[in-house]
Amino acid sequence: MRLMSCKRLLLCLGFAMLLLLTSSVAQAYPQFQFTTGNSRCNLCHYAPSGGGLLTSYGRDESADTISTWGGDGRWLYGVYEEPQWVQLGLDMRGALLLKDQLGDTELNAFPMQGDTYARFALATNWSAYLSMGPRAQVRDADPVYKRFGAREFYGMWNDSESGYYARAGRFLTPFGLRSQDHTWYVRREAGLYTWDETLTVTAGRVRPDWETHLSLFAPVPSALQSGGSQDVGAAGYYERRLGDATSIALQGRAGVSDEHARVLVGAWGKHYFESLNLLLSAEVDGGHENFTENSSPSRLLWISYLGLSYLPTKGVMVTISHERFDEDLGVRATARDAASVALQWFPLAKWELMFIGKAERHGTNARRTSLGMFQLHYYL
Amino acid sequence: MQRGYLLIFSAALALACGSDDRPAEWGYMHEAIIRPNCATVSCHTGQNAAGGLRLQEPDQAYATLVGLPCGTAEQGGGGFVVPGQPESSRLVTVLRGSDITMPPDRPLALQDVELIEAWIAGGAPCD
Repeated sequence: MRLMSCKRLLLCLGFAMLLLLTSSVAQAYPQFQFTTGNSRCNLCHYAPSGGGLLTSYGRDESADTISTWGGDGRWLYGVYEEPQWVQLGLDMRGALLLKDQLGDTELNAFPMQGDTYARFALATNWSAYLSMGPRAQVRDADPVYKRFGAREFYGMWNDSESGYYARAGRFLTPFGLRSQDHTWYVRREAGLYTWDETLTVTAGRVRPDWETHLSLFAPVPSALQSGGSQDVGAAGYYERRLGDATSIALQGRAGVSDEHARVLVGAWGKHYFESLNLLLSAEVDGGHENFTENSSPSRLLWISYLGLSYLPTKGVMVTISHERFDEDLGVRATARDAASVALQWFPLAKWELMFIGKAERHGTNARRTSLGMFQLHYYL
Repeated sequence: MQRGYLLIFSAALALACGSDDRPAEWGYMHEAIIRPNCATVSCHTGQNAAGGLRLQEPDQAYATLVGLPCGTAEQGGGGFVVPGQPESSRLVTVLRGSDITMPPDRPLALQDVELIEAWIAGGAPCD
């Protein structure tokens, strides 16, 4: 029995090392709010606004509530029990992608994610967190240290009794539906893409029926492998849960850089129709952007998401959605639209199979792309 | 009252069917089109420089695409842009997807491509 466990452990670690040569994405499934009977993200995640490393409760839920055939959600299947001062995690994801771009078809298989997590409990209410993984885009000439990076690292004070917390480091500001899919327009176009994590200071409070997060953010220095955003700014977020099936949130985010000033104001809502096993989710953000070039006109932006998730049986989730991003509401034919269907199956704790089909229209002049992607996801 | 409704209707129509009166100027196009679509996290930033191209900063992006420093009086730098000739410019070829498509997976709206073509047709100045 012990030998079998060690073999499984070695197999897992070998697979992990292989996937450490890959890229990474964030982790959070906004559809699990309400549909699992849990109403807030920090029940299952250490981060107050969700995502990243799972708590021991979250690990148990992944087996007992989320997966079709249950299983053992504990770290390393309980073969090795972590000391109380450290919690570890690993996310791995491989993908098979078939895409069509303006008539050109491609088929690719690639490792997609290899994130490692470590959380250190430093003292009562104090902790430190680090997530590391390979970078998505590297050049052949890049030295080894440039091929890896830390998208998230922060120190946090968190009082679980009162719900107050503060954290400082590198992470995405709490904003929007916070999907694990970084290609959602409400993530990508709102400055919340993978590796867009900023240097951030957030303070907030999470209570059973509401939560709020206030953030200040600044760009990450290039020496620390910065992403795309060069904005300095602030963000605010307030979410109110109405019973066990409905949640609404209001949010705002403003940033300035040498090139522009951008303000986003928006809201999102979710409602779970329990008798039908249906979750309706929607987010709308409107924006205004000014450019520092004197002659450049300002513009109004639109970003939206509308999704309906159906959970026919334990461990299975089907989501259809529509997304829209319009970079300039004052100019005709610049909006992007996406329609997608995602089928997710969680057969056992730690395992996920996912298929996504997505069709996009870029501007209204018939520039179309589409993709079908199969993903195999495992976490430890 | 009727005049008020007419104004609101006109404003809504303008938003929905707005004509493209954006300036075909480098300063605007870099900030509104090139940087948000090309200098994204894993592509042509200073950090990643996919294909060796850095398009995050306007002057550097201009020099990369046109092949001449911004503000120079020279002509024909041999970059991705041939001033005055959008049909001969590699930038237009990839943006239209005639060869490879850029940006991959999310091509620009034709309105944006046409604005860039107008800028090239006007001599691709660094204004």
